[in-house]
Amino acid sequence: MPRRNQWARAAIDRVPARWLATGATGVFLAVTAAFGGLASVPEPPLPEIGPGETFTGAELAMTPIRVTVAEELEYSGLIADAGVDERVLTLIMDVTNLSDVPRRAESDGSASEVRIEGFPDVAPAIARLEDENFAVAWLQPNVPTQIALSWLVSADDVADLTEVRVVLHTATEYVGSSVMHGRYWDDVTVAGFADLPVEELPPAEDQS
Amino acid sequence: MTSWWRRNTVPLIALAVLAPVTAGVIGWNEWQEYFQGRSTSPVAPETEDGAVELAGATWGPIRGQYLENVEGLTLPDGAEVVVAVIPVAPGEDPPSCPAPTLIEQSSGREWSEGRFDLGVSSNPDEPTTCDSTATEPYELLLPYIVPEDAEGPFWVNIAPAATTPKIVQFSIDP
Amino acid sequence: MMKKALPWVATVVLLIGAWFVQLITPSDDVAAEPFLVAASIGSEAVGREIVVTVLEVRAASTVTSSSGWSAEGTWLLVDLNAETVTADRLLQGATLTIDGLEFRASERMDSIFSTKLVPGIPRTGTIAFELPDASLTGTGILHLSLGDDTRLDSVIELTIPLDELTTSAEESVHVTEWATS
Repeated sequence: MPRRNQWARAAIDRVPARWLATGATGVFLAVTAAFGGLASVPEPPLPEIGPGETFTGAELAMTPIRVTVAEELEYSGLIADAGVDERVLTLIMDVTNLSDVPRRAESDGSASEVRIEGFPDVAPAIARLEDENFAVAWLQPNVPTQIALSWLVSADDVADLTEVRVVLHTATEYVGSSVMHGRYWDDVTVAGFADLPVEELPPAEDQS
Repeated sequence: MTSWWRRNTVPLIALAVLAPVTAGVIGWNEWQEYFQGRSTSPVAPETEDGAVELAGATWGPIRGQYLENVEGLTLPDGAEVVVAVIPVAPGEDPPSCPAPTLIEQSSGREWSEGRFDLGVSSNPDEPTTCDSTATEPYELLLPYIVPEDAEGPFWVNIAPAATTPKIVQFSIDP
Repeated sequence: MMKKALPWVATVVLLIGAWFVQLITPSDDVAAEPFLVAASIGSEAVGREIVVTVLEVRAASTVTSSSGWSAEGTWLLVDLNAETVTADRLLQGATLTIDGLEFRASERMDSIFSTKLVPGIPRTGTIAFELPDASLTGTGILHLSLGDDTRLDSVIELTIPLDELTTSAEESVHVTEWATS
């Protein structure tokens, strides 16, 4: 048995320990350099789109169409509190569910995560534009539909607003295993922006 | 040469006794848990004249019959109407309760009152739920739409909110 | 020679056997899967608590309802009679699976979906599915159940040959009402 690895022992014995340490460090640095160095890579800027362009995140294809401000929008389900000067800020968006199961527009990770920069971080009221009602909207796979996302905001904040930045998101889908059952979305992160002009709707008109 | 059976007589007898006993004890234990865990509604006792006291009120005696004249009612094919009338005499604290349910005793099938489905508009003189503001005695009038193959006797269960899980249970055979 | 090799051969055989057993062992989820009851058009399918008779399957590019609502698209309509066995329940499980995509009964109009079923007395109505364009090909699997969560419950399953359906220009969602026998 000793005969087999005798040559290995002899070879190792010949290399001075100093060389081994230096050699290992050299190899380590070479590999690090090959992978781009120790400094962290700057993240690529998030995509920015305009009206009519499509952004895909959280398995939803979202195409913002327009943003409107109105005193009230009947089908949004939002009513300003009496005595408070509020407006309804609405984003009209085409959305297509790209996943293989139906999802509610109001669920976590779905269209309800869209926000408008500078306005409160709350989920919008969602209405399906074709039906003009604010009942629950289920997004069937691969069936495009147009939805209206509405927020109740103070009139001062939208007084001279000409353009807004819509914050679009992505999320990760998980499958519940032991305690949770079914599929759910989590880890919602900002993943894109859309810049749209704001249209002020005249008071008499409720529809857009 | 003694047979195997002879040599092992004692262990075999022990086995013959212990195996069924073990199965019986374990089985009885498990079934006890099942029966105790089942939710049953304790029923308030009925007096001789068919009345029941619960939640401070006197309920009954109940009257139940099939409705012969169903003209003007939206009744599906193959269905009949059982009407139950329950007098309620509230005490100091008038009880409140949801509409009583009708249960076919033989099968356990349960129906809820069908006044709306029959197309009869609600009438304060013919309440289907307990009136928690009434101080005078009143009567609950409950029409039930049941399939033709449903056969009495039926239970009528009333669950006053204050005395859950105790219920008032009447039996009718229309 | 054989004696020496025997333990090795036995080990290999057992390892292969173990791998095979592991391969065919179902996952834990299988224990909670629903019980499928096969249905065919016109005949009654009896589940644990639900009894369904699918009457007809229609396809249309425009769908209307009695309230005046209408919508265009690719729609599949299922007319059915349904009742429960022992207690009042809502019909809340209705999915159609085509080529790996699962669709849920549309909530956009009044239909028998999400309405109350009673024991012994059938209700009749229509369930509508909104589908992507050009998806009425191949086979669709319809699943009907009382609950949205179908674990450990009965699911009525109907296989629909979609190629055999003719798409009408307009179809209406029937009013949900008591079934006439």
